[in-house]
Amino acid sequence: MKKETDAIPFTGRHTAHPENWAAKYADYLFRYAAARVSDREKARDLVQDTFLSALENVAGFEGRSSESTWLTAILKNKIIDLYRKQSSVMERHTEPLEKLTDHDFFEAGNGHWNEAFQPKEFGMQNDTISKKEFARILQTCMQKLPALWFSAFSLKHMEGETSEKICTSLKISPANFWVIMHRSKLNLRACLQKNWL
Amino acid sequence: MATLKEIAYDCRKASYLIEKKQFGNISIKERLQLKYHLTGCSVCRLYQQQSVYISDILHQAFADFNSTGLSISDSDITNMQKEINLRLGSM
Repeated sequence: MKKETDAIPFTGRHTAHPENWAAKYADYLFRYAAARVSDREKARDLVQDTFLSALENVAGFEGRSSESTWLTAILKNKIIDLYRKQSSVMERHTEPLEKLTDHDFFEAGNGHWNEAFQPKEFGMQNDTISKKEFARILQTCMQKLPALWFSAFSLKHMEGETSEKICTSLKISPANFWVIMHRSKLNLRACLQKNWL
Repeated sequence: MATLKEIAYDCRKASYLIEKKQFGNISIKERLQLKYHLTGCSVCRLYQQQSVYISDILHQAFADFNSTGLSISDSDITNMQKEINLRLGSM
């Protein structure tokens, strides 16, 4: 027999309260965005945009998730849109990927590490301060990546998107996707080596 | 085995496979090639270690975004709410 107490009473769905949105969620959403676009102006605009889109679609908010989850999902889509826009304007011209990116990490003939780019020990101290500093330099280095790489790399590493979805969103082939992942990491690593050591 | 010879000295290919492997997308053949290369190449072993470390740090930084202490200014918050209210009023 089913005991009545087993069923958790459903106390009603979440409801939307746009009149409190800015005070309640602006900071959280701003941090979320700033971690992903790094330009604070842009992050702020994304938050504003998120609120306005949410408002337009407020009828579609069915309360299955919390307001904050719902708003974050809208923001995430806006960020992906922005990535897509940035990478399509910037470098869709003709330069073939290989040529653009394979500078001299490796020697042309045999694929050996070029001496100047050969990995050296970072000598990381395993404490919080060095980790933070390291993360900060890493952020700066990411900004130097071409927009398309930044977008693909961020979607993979930060959002944990599947490779297929990233290829579709950014209109790149799977082969190019892996080339981008590889070259981005090579560049980031080299940039860290230069600025950390 | 020709394929092993091909990769034995090719750090470009090895470092490519190191990236791919982190997402679980490499074939058994590629896995073997990489293993073979890494056995003999300390530079790529270091590369692998650093590459994984970079991924971890990134992952962590993004998971911790909410503790960065960044905040939006009060006037921005007020303005955002004004915009929202303006549209709420006309709904």
